[in-house]
Amino acid sequence: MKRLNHGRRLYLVTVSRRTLSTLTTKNRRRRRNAALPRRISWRPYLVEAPVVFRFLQEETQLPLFEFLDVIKVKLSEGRRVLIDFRKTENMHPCGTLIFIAHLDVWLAKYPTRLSCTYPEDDRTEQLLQHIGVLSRLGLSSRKLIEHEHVKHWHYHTGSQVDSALYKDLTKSAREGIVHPDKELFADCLNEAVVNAVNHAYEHSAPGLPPKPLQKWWLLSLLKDDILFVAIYDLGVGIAASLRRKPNLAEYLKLRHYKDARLIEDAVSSKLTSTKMPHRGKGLPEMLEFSKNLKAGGLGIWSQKGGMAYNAEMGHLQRHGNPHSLQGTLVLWSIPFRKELENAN
Amino acid sequence: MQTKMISVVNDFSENPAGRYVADGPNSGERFRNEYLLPPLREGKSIVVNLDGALGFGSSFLEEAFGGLVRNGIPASDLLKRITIKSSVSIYGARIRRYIEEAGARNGRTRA
Repeated sequence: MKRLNHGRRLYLVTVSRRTLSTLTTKNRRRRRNAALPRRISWRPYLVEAPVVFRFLQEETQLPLFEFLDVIKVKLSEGRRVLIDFRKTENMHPCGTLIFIAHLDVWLAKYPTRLSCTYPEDDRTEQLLQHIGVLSRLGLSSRKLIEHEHVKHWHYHTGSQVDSALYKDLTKSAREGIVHPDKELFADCLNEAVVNAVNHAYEHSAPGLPPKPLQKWWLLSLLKDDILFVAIYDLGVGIAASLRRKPNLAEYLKLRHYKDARLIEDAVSSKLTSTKMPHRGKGLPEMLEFSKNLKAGGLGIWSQKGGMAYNAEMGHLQRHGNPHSLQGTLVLWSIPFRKELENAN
Repeated sequence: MQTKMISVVNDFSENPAGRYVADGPNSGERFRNEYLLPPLREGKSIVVNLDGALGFGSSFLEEAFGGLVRNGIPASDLLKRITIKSSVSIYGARIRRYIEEAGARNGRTRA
């Protein structure tokens, strides 16, 4: 090995020390930056709302769920979100109610981080104004609520079973629906709310809203002689609720059942998550009421399954849901005598 | 035997709904405990007028009336001492069924 002279040795030591110092400084900076939170852009993240807010149709269901997921992710990342309603043209009770329920939770968790644009479609703007979405997202009311398909929308929400909250709906429905036992509509509506209050949030599970937001949401709409009523909760879902704490025999029987089968069993029999024989009458009561309708029907959707009763065909059918729905959605369509509603 | 008249809408609420007190302000449990049990325990008969209320629901009616059996009053006794007045005939039949079913379950539990 060649011997280094003094100058060469000094040079190599100096370079080594400088290199070591640089590396150490870089490491220190890297470690310090990693400990700091990432800089959050204060510009709001623009999320385009779907053209159609509809859950019941497969083509519109995925865009709706993707829209909700993007908002949820961006809010949880600390971003502000601007919901762009400019292209939204058609809002159905099912999709609208699912959106409103999620909006309620987001506004409570992130009160200053959501905003929206006005829709370009006049009817959509009237509707979003009428049900209070625009004002909650910081926009002022600009329209008169006069569209035929908007003014008969009504929205209610609560965390208890208090039928006084929706008594106007109950009264007008009781007068106008076409049904041999129309007084029983109120009973069924109460039972749908009872189910949400008693079962939806009965057990803790990931993804449930915090306790103050464990509510039910209700939308009703009168359109073309049909009364649509949608009731929604953000709970665990019917199938998950039924699978809780089963005895061994039932567990073996239930574990291969898909969600749709369990929903159908809950609706057409007295299968209940409480396993108490005097309970579990609510869903069968709603189905029994629907079986006396001449048109319309009842649909119940929860997680990956659903069931739909078509009153005209007299037919009950199970459905698989390609995209899991959080909670439970009850959808009713009931023939209505429009001349009475107009007189009111 | 003395008879107590009870009107749900005038004495209790126009908006009865829900099963338990924890469910809401006008539950079947509260109606049973505050309006049905006291006169029945005093040995009275009761006439319950359901008209005027904006619907009930099976949870309310079952807890109010079926719950009487679970609170110790025999079903056979209740069927003799309770009269239901309602323009909706199905309510009377349902309440009778809830009491009978509660009685049958009580009999099976006791046996």
